[in-house]
Amino acid sequence: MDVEAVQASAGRTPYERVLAALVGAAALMAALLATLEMHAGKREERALVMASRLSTAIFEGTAASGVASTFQLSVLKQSIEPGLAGAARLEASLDDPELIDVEFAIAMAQAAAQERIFAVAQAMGAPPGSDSGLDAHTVEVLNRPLETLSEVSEEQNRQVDLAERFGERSNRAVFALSLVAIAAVLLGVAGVIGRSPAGRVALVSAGAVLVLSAGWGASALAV
Amino acid sequence: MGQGGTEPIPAAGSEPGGHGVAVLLAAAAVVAAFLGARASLVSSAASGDWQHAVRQETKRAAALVEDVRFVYSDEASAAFLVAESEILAEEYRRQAEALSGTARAALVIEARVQEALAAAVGGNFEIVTDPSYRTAEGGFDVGARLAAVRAAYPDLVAIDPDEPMDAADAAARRAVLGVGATLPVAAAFLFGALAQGFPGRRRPLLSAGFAFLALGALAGVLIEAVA
Repeated sequence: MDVEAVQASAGRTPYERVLAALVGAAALMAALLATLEMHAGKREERALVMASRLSTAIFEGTAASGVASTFQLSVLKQSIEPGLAGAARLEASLDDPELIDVEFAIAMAQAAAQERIFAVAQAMGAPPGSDSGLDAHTVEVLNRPLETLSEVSEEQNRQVDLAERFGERSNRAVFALSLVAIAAVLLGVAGVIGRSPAGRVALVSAGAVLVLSAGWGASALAV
Repeated sequence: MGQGGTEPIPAAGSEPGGHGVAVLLAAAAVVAAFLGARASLVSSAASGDWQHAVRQETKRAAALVEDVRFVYSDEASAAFLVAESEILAEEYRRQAEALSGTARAALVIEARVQEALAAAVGGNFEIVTDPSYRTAEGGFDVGARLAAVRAAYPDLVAIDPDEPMDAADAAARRAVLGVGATLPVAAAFLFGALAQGFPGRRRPLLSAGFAFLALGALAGVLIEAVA
C-alpha cells in the first residue's frame, strides 16, 4: 500500500486522520479481497479440473465397458447358432429318409456342442474380476454398472455449476480489488494535494470508492 | 501555512515516533510482499499439478480403452470362434464313433472342416497360441489375457491421477492460507496508518501494529512448516 500517503498525513487535523484511517482501511480491504479472490479462483479451477476428469471417466467407462458388453452379447448370440442350425437341419432332413441318420447325428453333435459353447460364451463374456490379475482400476471400470455413469454425469454437471459460481465470485472480488486500487490512487492524490477543496474531493471520493469496493466484495460472498 | 489553504507536508520522521511508523509500514509492506509472492508461487504449483492430473487421467483412460479394444475386439472374438469350432469338431467326432460307413465319413468331414476353421481363424493371436490362456471348458481366459496386455506397459497401468490431484489440493490450501496470512499484516499497516493520524495514541497503536506484523510473519512460517 501507499507508505508515502501515510507518511504525508502527519498531523492532527481531521483531514489527516481520515486520510490515515482510509489508507489503513484500504490496505485491509486489499488483503481481504485478495484472500477472497485466491480462494474463489482456486475453487473454480479445481471444479473445472474435476469436470474435465469426470468427462474423461465417462468416456473411459462407456468406451471400455461398451466394447466388453458388445463382445459379451455377440458371443452369447453366436453360441445359440449351432443348436438352431441342428433343429433346422433335423426338420429339413425329414423329407429325405436316406440322409436322416447323418443329419440326425450332426444335429445331436450340434445340440451337445451348443451347451458347451454357451458355457464358454458365458465365461469369456463375463467381466474379469480381481482374480484375473488385472489392476484394480481396470476391474472397476469393466465391472461398473452403466447406471453409475449417469451418477458420474450428474457429478460432472455439479462441478461445472460450482466452477461457474466460484468464477462469478472471483470476478467480483477482482473488480472490488480494482476499486481498492482506484481508492488508493485517490488517497495518494489527497495526500499530495493536502487539506484543500480539491483534497477533500479526492478524500471523499476515495472513501466512497472504498465503500463501493466493500459492498461489491460482500456481494461476491452472496454468490 | 502553504498556498491555497493547504497544509505543508512535514519532513519524514520529524515528529516523535515517526520513525516507528515508517519502520512498521515498511516492514509490513515487505512481509506482505513476501507472503504474496510465496502464495503466488504455491498457487502456480497447484495449477500445474491439477493440469497434470487431467493429463494423467486422459493418458490412463486412453491406454485402458485401447487395451480393452485390442483384447475384446481383436483377440477374444477370434478366440471364441476357435473355441466354438474346436468344440463342434469334438462333438462331431464323438458322434462319428457310434456310426459307420458314409454317415461316419460325413461327420468326420464336418469335424475336419471345423478344425481347419479353428486353425485359420486362430492365426497368430497369442490368446489362442499360448496354452496358459486355455480354460478347462475349452474356452480362453480373456481376463488373464487382458492383464498380460496391460502388464506390457506397467507405467501406464501405474498412472494414478489422484496423486497430483491431492498434491494440488494441498498446494491450493497453502496458497489460500498464505494470502490469508497477509490479513494480520494489513491490520499492522492499518495500525501504522492510525498511529500516524492519532499521535496521542501512537504508542499503543504502534505496539498493536508490530504485534499483528509478528502474527502475520509467524502465520506465514507456520503455513510453510505445517500446511
